[in-house]
Amino acid sequence: MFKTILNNKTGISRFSIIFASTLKTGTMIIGIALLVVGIFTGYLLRNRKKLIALGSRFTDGAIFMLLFFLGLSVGSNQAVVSNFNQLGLQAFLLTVLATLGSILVTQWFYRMFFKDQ
Amino acid sequence: MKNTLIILVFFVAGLFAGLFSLFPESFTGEQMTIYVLYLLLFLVGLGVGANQHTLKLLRSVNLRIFLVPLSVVIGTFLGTLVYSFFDDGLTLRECWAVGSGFGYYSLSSVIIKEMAGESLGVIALLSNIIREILTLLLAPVLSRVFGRYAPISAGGATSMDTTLPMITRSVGTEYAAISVFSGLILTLLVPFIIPLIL
Repeated sequence: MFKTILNNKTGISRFSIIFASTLKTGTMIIGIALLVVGIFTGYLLRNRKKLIALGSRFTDGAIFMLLFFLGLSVGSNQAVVSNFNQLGLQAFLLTVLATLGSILVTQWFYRMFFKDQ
Repeated sequence: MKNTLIILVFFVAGLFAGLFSLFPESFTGEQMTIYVLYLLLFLVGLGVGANQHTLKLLRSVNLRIFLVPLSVVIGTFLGTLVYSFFDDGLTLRECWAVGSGFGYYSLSSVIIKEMAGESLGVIALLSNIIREILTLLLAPVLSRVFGRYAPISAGGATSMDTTLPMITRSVGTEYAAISVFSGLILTLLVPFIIPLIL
C-alpha cells in the first residue's frame, strides 16, 4: 500500500532538480569553518558566563528566524503545500526505520564490545 | 519540548505568511537565511566550546565511547537504505541526508532545504522532529526491550539536550555522560555529513 502512495509521480527527486541547490557545498565549508572558529572562541571565552548566556539566547533567536524563513519558502511553494500529507508520511516511515536501524546496530555493537564491562 | 513547540510556531507562522503572500514576492529570506545559518553555526560552536562538560568528557574518553555515535550513524544509514527501497520518490542520497539530521531538525532542515529544495527540507524537518518525539515517548520501552543504550541511540543528536532528561529517567543517571557525548558528536557531525552526502 505504501509503495503506491510513495510511488506518486510528484516525488521529491524531481523537485530537487527544479529548485537546485542555492547553497553550494562551498558555502557550507564556510559554515563548518565558522563552527570550528566558534568552538575555539567558546573555549577561550568559557569563563565569561554572561557572554556565553547571551550567545545561547542568540542561538534560539537564530533558530526561530531560520524556521520562520523555512516556513515562508515552503508556504510559497505550491507544489510542496499540496503534497504535505505525502511528505509527512515519507518522513514518518523513513524516521521509524532510521531509528530502528540505530537501535539495532547500537545493541549489536554493545554485545560485541561492551559486554565485558 | 517547549522549545520544539515555539520553533513549530515560527515555522507555521512562516508557512502562513507564505501561503497568503504576506510578504512581497521579492522577499524570500533566501540571502538572509545563509547569513543567519552562518551565525547559528558559529553560536553552536561557541556553546560547545564553552561547555564545562565537553572538556571533562573528552578527558575521560576511552575509544569505545565513540562506538555509540558510530553505531547511530551506521544504523541510521542502514535503516534509511531499507526505506529507500520502498520509496521511488526519494533517492538514496536524499534518504541518507534526511536521516543524517539525527533528530537535529532546526539545523538539518535548513541546510537540506538550501541544498536540495523545499520538499526535502520539509521531510527533514518533520522526520527529525518525529525522531525526537519517538525518543521522548518510547525511551522507557526501548530501554527494556533493546537495552540501556537504545534510548541514547534513538535520541541521536538530541541525546545531549532535549531528550537527555527522559533518557536518564529511563536508563539511569550513570548513562548521562555517554548520552551527552554521543549527542555532542552527532550534533557536530550534522553540518559535515549532510553536504558530503547531497
